[in-house]
Amino acid sequence: MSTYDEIEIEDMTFEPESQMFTYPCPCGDRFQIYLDDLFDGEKIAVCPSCSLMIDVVFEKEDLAEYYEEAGIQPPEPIVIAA
Amino acid sequence: MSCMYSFGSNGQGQLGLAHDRDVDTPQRSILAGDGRMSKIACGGNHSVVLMSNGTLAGCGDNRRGELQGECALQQVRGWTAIEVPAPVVDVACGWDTTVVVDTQGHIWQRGGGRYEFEQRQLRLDPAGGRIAVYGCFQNFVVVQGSQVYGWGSNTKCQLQARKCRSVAEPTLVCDSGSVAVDYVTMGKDFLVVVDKNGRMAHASGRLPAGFHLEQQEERVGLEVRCMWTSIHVWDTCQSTVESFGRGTHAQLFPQVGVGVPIADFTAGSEHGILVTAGQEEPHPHYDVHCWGWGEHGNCGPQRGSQPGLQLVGRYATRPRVFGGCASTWIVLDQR
Repeated sequence: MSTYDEIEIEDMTFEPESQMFTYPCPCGDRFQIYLDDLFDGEKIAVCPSCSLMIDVVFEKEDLAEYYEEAGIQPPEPIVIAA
Repeated sequence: MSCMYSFGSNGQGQLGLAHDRDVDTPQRSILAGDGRMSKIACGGNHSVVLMSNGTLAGCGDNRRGELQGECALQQVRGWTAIEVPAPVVDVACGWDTTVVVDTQGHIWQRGGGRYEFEQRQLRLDPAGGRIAVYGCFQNFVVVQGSQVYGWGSNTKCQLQARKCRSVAEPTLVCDSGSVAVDYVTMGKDFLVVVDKNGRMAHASGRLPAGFHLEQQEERVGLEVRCMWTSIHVWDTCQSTVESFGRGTHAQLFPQVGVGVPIADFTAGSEHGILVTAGQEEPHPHYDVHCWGWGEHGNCGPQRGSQPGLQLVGRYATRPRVFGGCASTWIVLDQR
């Protein structure tokens, strides 16, 4: 499976209300992936309007700040390396 | 008078048609009046036309204030006049933004959640020569003489060497020195500055795989265009086109099948548009071809990303071509 591009998580837009990350797709829609899906190890964000996908580049510990921003707890504690 | 034809992605009515369905063959996009169209600029889901008299019209998405002042107006269906502070000399679109430069050298920006034009701090010299604006994704640049000023995202150091999230106001990106800048072509997070000799004078940001400016700096006579993630270089002296980037969806220029002279080319978000000049007598003609990612019909009826060129139109007069986000535009000028 060949993804269209690799995008760092810091370049995506996080919507705390829906706990979703989005990023513009060249078709005009936006790639989407949920915070919990990233936590579960999913790295592919998909566009609802076309077949393109992107690889989200992140470390699990990056997710802690987004859970905090959304005001919710991660499914299990995130261990942050010293 | 200019006749516009459009096809491709149309979910927000950005093709200026009477509906919001995608189309895969050129459709007449009707703009009121009989003026000459100077430029088409496209954002993620909105389109703007600059007329030669300095007026603007737009269509498509208005959820972020891209086109009109009413936040309740989510979509502008059909070409509609855009109110501008003064006659416009150039226009460009970002993902959800629109920027114009007026005859007095003022720079105005709207969209991105701002429902009216706001003036940028930099003012260019209206008597100082041609002023142009270019945009892509989250970045804009303005050009006058040898200087390029940019603003917007700087997460890939596309504007200045020190990485930061964004640059709020126009800041000097480069000065090309004794040879003036001709144009700037921009990808999703990089830009390339081309001077009047057709030489790449500057490149910055997350440049596509295989592209190294130092290998290009001695070359002249180049025409350079960028898709979001690739660079395409037409060497007008050698009549070759070279592409740089991953090309996972056939975005790299197909090296076979071009047996006639290239007249022009441009790029959309992830597809290219090529104009060739057929010389056969007694009916010389121009062909418009597309290549690359065409899932929304923006490369023609074959929507897969198959390699090769797809012929989308043949015209007796030389067409002008523009590319948007999965959209293709063909303009025919009538005397």
